[in-house]
Amino acid sequence: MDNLRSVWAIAYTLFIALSTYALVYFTGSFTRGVVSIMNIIILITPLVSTMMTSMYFFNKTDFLFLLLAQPIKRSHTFIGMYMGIAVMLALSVGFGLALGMAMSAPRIEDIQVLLLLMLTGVLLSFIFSGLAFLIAIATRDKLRGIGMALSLWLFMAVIYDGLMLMYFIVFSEYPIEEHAIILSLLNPIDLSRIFIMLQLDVSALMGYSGAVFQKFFGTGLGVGVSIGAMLLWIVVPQFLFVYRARRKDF
Amino acid sequence: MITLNSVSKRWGRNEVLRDIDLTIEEGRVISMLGPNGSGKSTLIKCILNLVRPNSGTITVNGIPSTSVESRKDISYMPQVARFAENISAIRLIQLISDIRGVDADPTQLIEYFNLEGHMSKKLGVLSGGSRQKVSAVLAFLFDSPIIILDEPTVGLDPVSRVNFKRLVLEEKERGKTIFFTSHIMSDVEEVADEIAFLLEGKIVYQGKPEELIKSTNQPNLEQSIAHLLKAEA
Repeated sequence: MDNLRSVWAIAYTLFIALSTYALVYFTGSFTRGVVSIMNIIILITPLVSTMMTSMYFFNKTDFLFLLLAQPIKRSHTFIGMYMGIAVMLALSVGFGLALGMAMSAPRIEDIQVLLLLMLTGVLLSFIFSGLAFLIAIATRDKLRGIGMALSLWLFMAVIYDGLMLMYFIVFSEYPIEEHAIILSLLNPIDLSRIFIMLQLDVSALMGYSGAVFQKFFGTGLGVGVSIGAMLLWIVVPQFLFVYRARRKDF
Repeated sequence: MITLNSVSKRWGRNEVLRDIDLTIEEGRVISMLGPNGSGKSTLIKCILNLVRPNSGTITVNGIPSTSVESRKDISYMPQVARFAENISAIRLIQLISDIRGVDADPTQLIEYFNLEGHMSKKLGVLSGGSRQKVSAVLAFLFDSPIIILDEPTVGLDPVSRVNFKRLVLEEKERGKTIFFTSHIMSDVEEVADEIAFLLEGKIVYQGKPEELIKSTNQPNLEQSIAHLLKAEA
């Protein structure tokens, strides 16, 4: 609750809301603006989640001494901290999208698209908060931890797709459809993009990996696989950071 | 009672604690002294399981320090009173009370430390001294049999320091075990039954302050400690 009152949470919500409203205004409808809004969600949400979680963790190090000295398990303390920041970020994205849509006189058919974007934003908030927590637990130095978190976002948001494209071009003569699926599963940003594209009638924008996903799994199973993979991206880092937290010296 | 048996801790190549044997008896006030970097805070963190020793065992009332149960009997005041900045002091106290599962009334302690006008303010806007006093309230609120204080009087104004020392003596009369670190010798002389002097990771003296003063033939504890440091150098 105290995180929700943070100025940064309110600023983040308003940023999402105003961006959504502006994009809907310039494209004429929510459904037409969804691809642009999607790009904001899949790029900005991981960045904000990563940075805010890293700063939150490192700013709370001294407070951690007091918390960990209480009769409470370390795992409970860290999962509580993670949920506190991740839920705040997820709610900010959700409310921001809903507010932006509400300001732009939505139609009934826009609700489904809104829910789709909200789900994506929520999942990405939890994923990148967890990854940032894992990085923060593993490092002592604040600057190094924040730098590593920022590098992770840069790699997943920008560099990874470039490397994937190079791979597809170099090995275009070979059967690499399965590789495309595996490579997509290894990047939650790509997964979220595929998840949205599979549910919208924008097959021209799917790209190679999205098209392969649809071909292999079909639309329904493809959505299920992408959500399942994103849930794994939430759960696995949590296990790892709890494992690491149990053994760390504070 | 807290018992440390052959406790060692190394940070990289730096051996911070070397084969420490220490017993903190029930109902006693024991002060851990030592220069900066001697391992005092590390020793406290080992007792609280914030830091894992490389070797040795630590028990709190017979329970291993690695167990959550061992911390039910301990209240802790950290060296630096930095908390979540966007919550109020009273909200912090409620948070810690909820974690400990104890519904304790902080009113008397809040009045004792003159914090009445500050409890609803966010911790981020309080002065360092006020945050230290909030930390002190948390340390004494839960009536824990063991109270561990890491440099507790740093940042306190003179009136609060006097009140703090009086509170320590009152808690001692009630049979509490108090273990604290300090650089302020006058505080140690006023409240400690026993001192343990830590130098380069080893305890070089353990006993009553007056015995150390007598054995070093110095006028006060501060000069006795200085004499000890020169002798060990």
